Order: sequence, then structure tokens, then C-alpha cells
Amino acid sequence: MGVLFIDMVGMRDKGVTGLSRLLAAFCIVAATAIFIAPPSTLADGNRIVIQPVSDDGLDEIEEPGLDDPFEGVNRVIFALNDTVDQIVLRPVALVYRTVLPRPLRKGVANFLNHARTPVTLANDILQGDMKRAETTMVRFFLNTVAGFGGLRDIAGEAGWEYHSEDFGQTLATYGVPSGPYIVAPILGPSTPRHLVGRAVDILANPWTWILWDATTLESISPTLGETISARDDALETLDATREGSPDYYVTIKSLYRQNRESEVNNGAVLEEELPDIPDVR
Amino acid sequence: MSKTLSRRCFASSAGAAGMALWALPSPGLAQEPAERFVEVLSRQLLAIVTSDANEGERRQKFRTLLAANADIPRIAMFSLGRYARSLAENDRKTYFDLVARFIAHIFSTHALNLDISAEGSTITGSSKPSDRETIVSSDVKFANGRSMAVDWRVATGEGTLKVTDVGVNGIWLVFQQRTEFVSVIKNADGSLEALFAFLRETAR
Repeated sequence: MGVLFIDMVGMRDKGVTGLSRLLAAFCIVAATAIFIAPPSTLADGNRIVIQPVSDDGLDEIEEPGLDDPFEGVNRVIFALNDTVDQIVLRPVALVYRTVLPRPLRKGVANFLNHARTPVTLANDILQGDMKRAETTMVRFFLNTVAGFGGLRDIAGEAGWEYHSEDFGQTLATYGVPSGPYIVAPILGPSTPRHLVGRAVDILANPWTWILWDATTLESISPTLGETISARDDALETLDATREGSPDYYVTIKSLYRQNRESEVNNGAVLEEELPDIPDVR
Repeated sequence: MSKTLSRRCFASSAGAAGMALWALPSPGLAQEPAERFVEVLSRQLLAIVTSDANEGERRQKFRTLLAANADIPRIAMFSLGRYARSLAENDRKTYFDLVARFIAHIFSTHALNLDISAEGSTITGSSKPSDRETIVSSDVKFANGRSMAVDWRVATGEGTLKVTDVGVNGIWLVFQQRTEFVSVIKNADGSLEALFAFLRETAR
């Protein structure tokens, strides 16, 4: 990942095309969401289907939703991604935290959420969720006008809570299956549906086109900002998760699945999909 | 006469007050038993999280709370997934104790790593998927303005209330734990000893 990252920074000098830069930006976006994100921003949505158990509850409980046919390759790529995270992203996040006081970091995170409004709004509408679309628009208006262009989350303080939507979630609401679990180089844990969703979101994001002719560093700066801000936010969570995990790969995979499922359901608990916890002791 | 009147007056006033109390939206009175249970438990948990106690003391307090309010045997057996049958009857007590210590360790590790202080927890609703279970939803507020959705699966059978799983922002912790336990056993070719060793090492 480090090599590709460095290559991307120097791309403009090498005369690469806008499409290449778009691809590079896409890679970093995906890395932001998966590779370094805290459990609360990980995951994708196969339905977790638990088969009925026998009367004594001790029979094998299958989890066909956790389909990982490429586990061998996935583990290798995951280890590489994780190494880069520990060598590059985590130290950068630590420096970021040291240099910027918390209120400023909060302002940056607010602004980045604010800048993502067009993508969320488009997906709210595509999902037919007009109530959330209204929330997104009210938030945008309030935070632009009274929140210093999005640096302060005035709307959130007034009860219009932040949410994000992406095209992967939109596809899920249309019944498109997520496909198998895959760990892509740099991109980290994902699914085919989630990857397609990310690509569409990048294309739908006005910032992609506004910064199309900017320098490479300028054009990837929003994504870099998101990456560092998200990694900073996840520092304690990921450290604690790593420390307590017997198998970090499995832990992240499960967190990814669960959280993505929750995102698709907008945080609602689907009782019928919760596994039975048999009363055996 | 005046005594009778005042008694009547008192009685009617008390009745009116009672009616008013009954009619007023009072969280304490309107709550399901499982909601009250979770409300009290959340308060106790937050007290541990925000206390000045060191990690060891915090872990011990959490273990005590866990033993009293969570169905550890049920959680522990579920966490073995397909390998539950492999657990010998004689090993169960040891295993349950290890699981309780493991959960306490994980909790205290995460709680210590929180650089924010929890302000309070609010019950936001509940549902009953079955006669034997209630899912209680709550919202934990932090001093920095953030909030965290916490859902509780509460087993309601036999006059007792016990937590069987907790969902934090959509992540069900016991489900997550089972995935990890099964992975440890699977990576050791089905040996439960590997899991025991991991639990002992972690909860040391």
C-alpha cells in the first residue's frame, strides 16, 4: 500500500490521466472505509442466516452468510494491508492527534461529513427514504449557514443526527446480493457489491469533478483527510480489538459483516435475523 | 362533620393524585421489567466505566456485575458454536469461569481506551421477539456529544432476567465472540485446549 500511495502522490508529474487519478482516489476512499475504519464503519451485508438447532441446542450452527471462499488469499492480503496500516497510517494518525487539539479534529471530521452530503442525499433518494433525505438536506442547510460551512454540527446538536448512505447500501435495498467476502490489496475487507458501490459514489461525488483538474495532491486531499481523520477516530478501538483478538482476520471480517448489515438496515435490529442462543449450560 | 369532610377531601385528593400519577407519562411506571433491569444495569456499568478505579479493580467490579446479570453459561456454550458438544461435562465450570474473566478483560480494555466520558444512558424502547426474550434498546450519551446505540437481549424466563447478548452500534458482542472462539478451535484442528489456553492467557 505504501508504494502505491507514494506513486499516487507523484502521479501528476508523471503525466497520468484523470482516470488513473480517479482510480487512485477510489483506492484511498476504499482504504478509508475499510482498511483503517473503526468497527463502527466497517462491514458489508450478507444476511446472517442461522439454521435451526436441535432440541438440545448443541448441534452445529451454520453461518452461510459468512461466505469466504478465498480465505487463503484474503489472509495474505489482509496481513499486507495490516502491516502498512501499522507502519504508515497509525503513526500518521498519532501525529495528527498530537498536532491538532480535539476541537479542531472534531471540526475537520464535521466538515468531511458535510462534504459527503451529495452522495448521502443521492442514495437516500435512490432508496426511496424521503425522511432521511429531508434530514440530510436540513443538516446541510443548517450546518452550511450556522455551522461555519460544516465545521460545526449545529444540526446534530439540534437533533438532526448525522447518517451516511452509499450506493452499496442502495444496491442492497434493491436486493442485490453482496457476493463473497474479499480482501483487496489496499482496499481491505469488502464484497463485490460494496466495491461497485464505492466506485459509483466516487463518480457521483461533485468533489471528484470539481477537483478533476487540480493537482494530484489537491485532488486526493479530501480522501486523505477522510483517511487520517477516520484512522484517528479508530485508534483506541482498533488497538483494543487487536489486543483482544485471537484471530484479527476473523475479527475484522465478522465486524465488517455485522456493521455493514447494520448500515444497510439503518441501525434497526432485525429480530428474525438474530441467532437463537439456546438455553444450554 | 369537618373530620368526615377532610377525610373525604383527603381521599378524593389522594385518588386524584393516584389517577394523575397513573395517567402521567412516567418512565419508571410505564417501563417493562426488562427495561427497568437494563436501565439499572446500564447505570451500574457506566459507574464502572467512569470510575477512578484502576484496571484490576474495574475488571473485578465488572465481573461481579456480569455474574449477577448475565447468563454466562448460556453465552459460553453459544460461543462454542459447532464445538459445543466437544466440551466435557467436567470442564464446563472451568470454561464458564474463563469466559467470564475473558469478557471482563475485554470490557475493561475497551473502557480504559475510551478517551471520552459517558454522561448517561436512556432507554429508547423494547420489543418481545418471544415470550422468553425481550430486546431493550438504549442510547448512551458521551460528554463530547456523541451517542452510541446499545441493544440488549434479555432472557426473561423463570422469573429472572439475564442478559444474553449486547449489540453496540449494530455489533452483537456474543455473536462476535463466537466467531472468534470457533476460529481458535478450528485453527487448532478442533481442539478445545487451544481455546482454554487463549482464554487463560488473555484473562491472566
